[in-house]
Amino acid sequence: MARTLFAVAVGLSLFAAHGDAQQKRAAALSPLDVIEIQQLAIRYSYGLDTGAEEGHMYSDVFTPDGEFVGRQVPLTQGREALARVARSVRKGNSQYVRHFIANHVIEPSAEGATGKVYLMVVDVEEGQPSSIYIGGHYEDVYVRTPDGWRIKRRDARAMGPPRNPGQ
Amino acid sequence: MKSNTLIAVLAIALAAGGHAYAQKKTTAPVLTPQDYLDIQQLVARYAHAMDTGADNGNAYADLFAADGEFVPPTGAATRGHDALAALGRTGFVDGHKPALGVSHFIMNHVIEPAAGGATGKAYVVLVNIGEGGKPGGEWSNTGGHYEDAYVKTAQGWKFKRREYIPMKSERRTPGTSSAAASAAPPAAAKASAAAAAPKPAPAKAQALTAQDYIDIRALANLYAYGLDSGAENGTGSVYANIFAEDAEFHGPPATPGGPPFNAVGREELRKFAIPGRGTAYVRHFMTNHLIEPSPEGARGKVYLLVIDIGREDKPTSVNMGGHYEDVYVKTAEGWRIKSRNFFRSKSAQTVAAEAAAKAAR
Repeated sequence: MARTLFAVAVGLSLFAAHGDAQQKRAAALSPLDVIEIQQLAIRYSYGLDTGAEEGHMYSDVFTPDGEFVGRQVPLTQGREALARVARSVRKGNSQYVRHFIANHVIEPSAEGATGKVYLMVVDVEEGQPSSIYIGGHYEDVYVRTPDGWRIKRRDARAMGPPRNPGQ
Repeated sequence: MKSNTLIAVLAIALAAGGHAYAQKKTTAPVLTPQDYLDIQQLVARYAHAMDTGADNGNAYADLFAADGEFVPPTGAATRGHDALAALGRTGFVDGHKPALGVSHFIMNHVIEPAAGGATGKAYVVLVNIGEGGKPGGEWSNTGGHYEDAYVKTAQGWKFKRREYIPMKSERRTPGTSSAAASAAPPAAAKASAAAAAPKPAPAKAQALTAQDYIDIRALANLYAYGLDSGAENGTGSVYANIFAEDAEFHGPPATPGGPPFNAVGREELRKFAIPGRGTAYVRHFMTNHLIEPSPEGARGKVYLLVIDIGREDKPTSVNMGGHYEDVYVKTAEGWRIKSRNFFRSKSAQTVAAEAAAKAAR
């Protein structure tokens, strides 16, 4: 009887462990998932460059507890704090383009998805010489929420020093 | 019974033969949305692998099929896993690796089904970010485009062949280095958003499928190829055909105080695709293509950088930049641009200064 109980307990724990492993396994991403995540990263640029919707176009690409971290900037967490960042962009308006992204690699993960994307911040304006303000890449964690895919965490990695830090 | 069996066998054989014939005859397979996205991811990974030399160069080599090859401008192809991994470790320019692991900015990726898999083209410009301890970044004088062949293997899509073709203009029309001519449509006149406002349309926006997004993105990328190269064969047909027959294109003045730019109809637009520069000419780099469903079909915005890749006597520079605002419609020929407006990049300070100057007049 004791042996049977032991066997049942072992069986249950193995079952539970198997369940955990199943839960942690990354679910495949559908084509629309990949496209929505790509669009999310692109919306980030528009939101930050334009400061649209009082900064909420930018903050809404994050989860409510989403965070932005980087070597040269303090941790910014939560949509209100993130919206403030987009509002404070000095050059921002509906005609300003600055955050050019490329090479977006997306992988399924246990949380949803992770991604890496190149960034080049270019100051380009009519009648003025253009310059690259900063560049590097982002490392992202994406999660699927009831409102669609959102950035849970964006880490600005390997960014060089900005050309004009006061900008 | 026997004759029935014979008929069945014959029918199966004929069907199999017909299938084989169809397979043979169909030279270009249909690509699914998953195929397109997998190939896009392959190309995005290329930049990361090349710039970081990850996994001792193996991350780069693993992007190629077993018999895959990379062909540089010299024509001396690198083949085989070990040779490609060595290339991935060292990089192309004197063993240089970017300081921050970021250099290859790949844009305008166009994918087409082809016999044996797919082919593709993508623009590339190399940027020196934080090199030599300098702040910001500098353009390198390396840029051009890739011409690719992709093959689907048991491990997914891989490069069968990637050839790098440096930027080259076969013919520079005098004066085309200015924004006015080189960026032709985008560089021209002030767009009134109202002028290009789409006609009233059904009020409800239909959801877009993955294939819709892929097809619309291809329009923006083909726009660059069509405009820069004048393809096919200088006719401007690639450029013209991304627009609907009655499409409109509006942009800001090419020169301060110049006339506004307004082009209507495919034939008028075709003239902008300047022939004679050749297929190695790259200038319009597009990225950040945002697409949303709309009552007309879809609307989109896309960033543009007009980059003059450096030549012997001139470093790489940005001629101009800005963004397009588009309306797309699904026609019998597929998705097309119904209207396109170009807006030059202007900072808040410039916009405020312009408004103040206007008020003072």
